[in-house]
Amino acid sequence: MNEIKPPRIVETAPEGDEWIPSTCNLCYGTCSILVHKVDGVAVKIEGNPKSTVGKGRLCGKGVSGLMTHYDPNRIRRPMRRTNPEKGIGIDPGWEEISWDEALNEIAGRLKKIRADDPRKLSIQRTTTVYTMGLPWGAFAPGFGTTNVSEGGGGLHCGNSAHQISGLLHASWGVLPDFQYCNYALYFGASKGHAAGHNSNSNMAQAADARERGMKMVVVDPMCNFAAAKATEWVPIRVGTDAALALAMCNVLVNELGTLDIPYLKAKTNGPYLIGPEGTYVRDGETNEPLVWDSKAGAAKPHNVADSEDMALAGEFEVNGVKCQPSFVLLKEHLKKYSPEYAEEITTVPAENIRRISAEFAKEARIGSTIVIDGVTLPYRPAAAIAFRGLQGHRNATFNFFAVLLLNQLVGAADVVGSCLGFNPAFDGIPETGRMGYKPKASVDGLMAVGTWMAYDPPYPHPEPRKPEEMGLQDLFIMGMTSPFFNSEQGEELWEKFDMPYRPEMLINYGANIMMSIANKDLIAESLKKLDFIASFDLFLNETSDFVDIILPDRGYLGCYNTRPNTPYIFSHPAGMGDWSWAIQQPVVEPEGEERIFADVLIDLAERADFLADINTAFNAVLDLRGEHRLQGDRKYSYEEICDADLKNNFGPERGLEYFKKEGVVTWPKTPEEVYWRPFTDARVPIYLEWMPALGEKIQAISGPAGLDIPMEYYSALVDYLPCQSFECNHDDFDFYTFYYRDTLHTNSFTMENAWLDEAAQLDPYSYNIAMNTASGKQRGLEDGDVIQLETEKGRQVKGRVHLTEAIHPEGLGIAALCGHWAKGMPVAEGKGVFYNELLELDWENVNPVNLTLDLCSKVKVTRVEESR
Amino acid sequence: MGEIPELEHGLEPRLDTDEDRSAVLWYSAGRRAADDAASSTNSQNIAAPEIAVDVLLFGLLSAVTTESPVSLSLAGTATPMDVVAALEDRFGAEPFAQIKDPGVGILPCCRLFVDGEPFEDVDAPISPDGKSATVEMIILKGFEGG
Ligand code: SF4
Repeated sequence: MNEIKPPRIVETAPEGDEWIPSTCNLCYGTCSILVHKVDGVAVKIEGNPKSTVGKGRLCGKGVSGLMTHYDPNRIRRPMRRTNPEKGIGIDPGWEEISWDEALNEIAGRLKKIRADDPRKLSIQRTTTVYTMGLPWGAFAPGFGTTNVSEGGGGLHCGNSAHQISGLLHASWGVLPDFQYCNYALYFGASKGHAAGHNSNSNMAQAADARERGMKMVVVDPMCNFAAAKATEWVPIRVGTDAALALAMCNVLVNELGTLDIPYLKAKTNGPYLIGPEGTYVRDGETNEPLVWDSKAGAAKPHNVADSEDMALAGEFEVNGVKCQPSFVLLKEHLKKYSPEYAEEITTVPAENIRRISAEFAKEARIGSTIVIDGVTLPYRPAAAIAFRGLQGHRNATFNFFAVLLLNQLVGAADVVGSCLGFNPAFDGIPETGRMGYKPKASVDGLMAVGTWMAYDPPYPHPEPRKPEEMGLQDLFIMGMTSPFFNSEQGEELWEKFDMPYRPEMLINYGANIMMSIANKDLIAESLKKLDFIASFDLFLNETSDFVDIILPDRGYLGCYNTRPNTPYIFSHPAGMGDWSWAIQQPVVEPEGEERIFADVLIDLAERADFLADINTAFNAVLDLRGEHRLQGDRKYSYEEICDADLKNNFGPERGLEYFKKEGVVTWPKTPEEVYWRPFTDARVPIYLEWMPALGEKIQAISGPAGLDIPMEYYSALVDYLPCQSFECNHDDFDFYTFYYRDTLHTNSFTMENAWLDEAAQLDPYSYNIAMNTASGKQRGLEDGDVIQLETEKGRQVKGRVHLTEAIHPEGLGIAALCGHWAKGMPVAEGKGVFYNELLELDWENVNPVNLTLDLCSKVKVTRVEESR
Repeated sequence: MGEIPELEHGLEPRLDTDEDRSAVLWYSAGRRAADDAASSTNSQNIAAPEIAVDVLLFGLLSAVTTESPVSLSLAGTATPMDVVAALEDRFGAEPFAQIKDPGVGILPCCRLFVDGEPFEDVDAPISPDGKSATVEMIILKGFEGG
């Protein structure tokens, strides 16, 4: 076992001058930071070079954190509304109150709800500080509600990206093995070139890879963060990625025949025999799926036959049933995706599709091996990756799956140079062996994740049931976040399903849900229906118009978090290098009456009489053992809980005091952890055998309630299926809008940061609407004109157009979630475009498998003002 | 394009792909697993006397009853599923429907502790040594998105 590297000695500095290690949380990338404090004032934030998370680098947002912390518009005291009327732009009439008053009122309501039905409490959290979620992970189950959601459930969550990455790579997402990849194919992703999971470390690695000669081909409607640095940009019609990816799979399988046959036999369900019903042919005794053992000339259970002997082709008869390996069905299915057919859908020329496919196949170097640190491993220096852009469509699940299928065909999965899940295998903390996890074989020999960020893993699934969760995830069991959590349509669906309760109270943690899900009117209606909303916030924002009590949060520079980077599937560099375990700690004194939110939650649990429950939940969430377990209904400070968590994992010498000083510990990864796939006897599906049956089970529940499931989304073989916006055929509605994450901003939050706002004003894209120059000229538009976008349903936004060659002729790109109207964020107010105003929030616009909201819309463009 | 990178930490690429060098690496994990399965022996169920089990229900499950702990008398070989079955007998099946699944058994969102230690194998006896046990149960949900 590797030893943890010895602690760093903190240099001596003049009195009153110190550098404090912590973690950035201006986004969920959680880069390790050092905060320079002089005489009690934080004066600078830098990256912490001791940590592999960020590797000493910060993005523009990270260095601007001081401006958020010292913003004079921050809320510093608890406040209660005096105006009972709630509505967009209606002044709540805030009055300052004491913490005691605030907490007694909230606790009183909590007690009442808990005694009645705890599920009537819902909790929203922001994705911005997603990694600070542990206290919520204890508070919600301790209270007894299952209704917890992310404020960006509509826009920001990578529902399908996580689910399919989990299914195929046992991880929250995927990226190229930058150190060894020679050919990276990106679909609607910016990994290594923008914001998000582990972005700074990825950026450094991606830059090194490009310098080394890694070819990058980026499929995207817009040539921005990744495409602008790529070898080749492939402009694509918005939302059609699955058609392109499947055409490429077709070229590999049916035109080139460039496949990693041993991989397909040993690591996928390609050899599993499929009968006439489309389901596995199973062993009569063990019920395990059968394969055809070519050597024995007989069918055998998949876990009995040697993979090398498994047939991938042919037709067989087993116990009188005609059957074929699932790979044969995939091969046939792909034939309909000819490059010419895909060209019509995607606008990508067929000859380019063939060329890129051939390049990808060649660069995968099927059959080759390489030695890393003395371990011989398969070498596949080609990767196809995807992320939020491509999955923000109605066909979210298949879009993502289709791209990752490319890697499966050439064996470029979790080996050297290939598409990697972020750290799905971890041997544990060297000195204690704690926290380790690994993917493993599960039902039908298919892979289950070793760890996951939600409690229901991507596979195997629980059975769907009549929904009792507000987001309906207990019916749509492949969904994680749900946009129906806070929407008018949610109410309609709850009625259909006879939900036994309705939400009465919301506790919000930093989410600006009025802006982060879909159009504001629908969200406003749902918020008005709640009896009571309490909200931890930094600023009075658009959602505050509906809040009853505001609680001042200390922000990321004032909080503890013992696990900003774990489990390592969320935001930690993949590939060879070091593991780092950093913490987040308060680096500044509280301003005004700010309190650490975790301590406030524990206070509420005490006042509402569920301390024993929250303690048990902390024990479960943190897996506290032995002497570190929280006892009975004793009240702990969050600092004490953090100390217990660290000692529980690192041993008695490495509690909170140690980590406060050191900030981070690191130790090296092993090749077996990073390139785990050859060492794991688990398969992944290239044929989603269980999906049709799952769709039918859901239909059996939802059909009688009046909600029909479009079964084409539940097929065993993935398909291209168009977005709802494609059904709009009016001549003057001729642009597809899409949203993209700006590198200068996080969600709807950072527009209030004065430095970032200034940078965004200098950037021609951040606050403007990007349109193709030729398309604009054709319509008589000039760069800088103010245009109005209007959907078929009459939803409108206005913004200044920026004409550019760097966008598909039919696309309109809008960055971030700008266009604030709240007076409490004066720096942000009125800047940029509020993209979500264009979005419907209904069943027709979500993926019927996991409820991912479709983010594209088709619009008519009119000029409302000439350029300045 | 496609040049082999300058290799670090002692890499030795072998790219003569006429021979499929990686095939054996793909096949090896399955072969190891088959060998392990062949050499493992099945454990036997040994009949054991009844044991006293105290169950503490937390969070949403605490609404099931005001009784705390819930005292049960179960077979010495009782597994977590047997504990849930006994709770269903006493309090009805409905409150426990959300933690059970026909395919998966007890869902991963339901966390169990036996005598203060996390207990993950829902098919294993909670008290292999036949002593009385305290079982804590809580449903964890809502760590999602991002
Ligand atoms: S990527 Fe995110 S966590 Fe890292 S420095 Fe930027 S804002 Fe902070």
